[in-house]
Amino acid sequence: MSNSLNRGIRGPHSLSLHALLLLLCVVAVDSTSQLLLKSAVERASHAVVLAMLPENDSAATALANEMLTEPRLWIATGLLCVNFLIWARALMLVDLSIAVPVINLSYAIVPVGAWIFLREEISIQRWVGVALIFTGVMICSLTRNRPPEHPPAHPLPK
Amino acid sequence: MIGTILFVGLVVLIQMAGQVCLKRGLNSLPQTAIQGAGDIVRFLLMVFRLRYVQIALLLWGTWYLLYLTVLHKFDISKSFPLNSLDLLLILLVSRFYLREILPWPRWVGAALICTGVVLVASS
Repeated sequence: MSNSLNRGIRGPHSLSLHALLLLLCVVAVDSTSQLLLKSAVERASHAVVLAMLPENDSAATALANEMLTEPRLWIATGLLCVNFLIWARALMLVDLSIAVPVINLSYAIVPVGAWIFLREEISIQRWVGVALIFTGVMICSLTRNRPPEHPPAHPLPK
Repeated sequence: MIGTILFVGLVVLIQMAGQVCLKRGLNSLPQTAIQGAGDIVRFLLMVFRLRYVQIALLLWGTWYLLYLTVLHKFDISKSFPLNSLDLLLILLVSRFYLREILPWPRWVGAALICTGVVLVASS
């Protein structure tokens, strides 16, 4: 890891660039899987719910069919698994109370993405919301992060 | 309507509990640098052996199934505001359970994000 990546983006005790990039990765992958899920779920989730009911063999079969025929659900689930690993690594470096606000960036990314790629109209109110989210994320990521050498708040029980 | 709110609220709570468990588990690990593929494998082995991480994974599995139901049953944009509630809960739990130090600008930033999410969702 190069030094510049590990240096805090604002002073020695702030979020490192490395950690910030990991979090932005999580946001990107999460937004993608959300969009995939959203488009896939119309048919698939119904089968998931039915299959959770006991003694519903036909629904379980239906679920199997849906899962096999719905690649978007597979891809989204796979992305969520990959995301877990990146997220876990990021959380080792960052306070939860910084990481979760930064993750909320996806609520701003999705409308902007829809505006750029899908030519969707965005209302003034939504633009204001997007701006507030960006500002909030920026403020949170500039606040003092727990220094890495800080002893864990809860030592491992065993 | 009440049922919807309760159900979506439950989903949000489960997700939050998963995040907190994961962080609590990771807090017990020593800070290590990850440089190569071997480090990644070692890191994963360490992570998945933690009790809190296992609980977190269980919670997330449950969350995923419930979330699919939410996506299917309700208009997702209507449940967004509850997601921003999740953010404030996370901050409170970080402060009082994980004992993180929260400078006041972070509360301000989180409040801005919450407001923004509500504006984005309700337009």
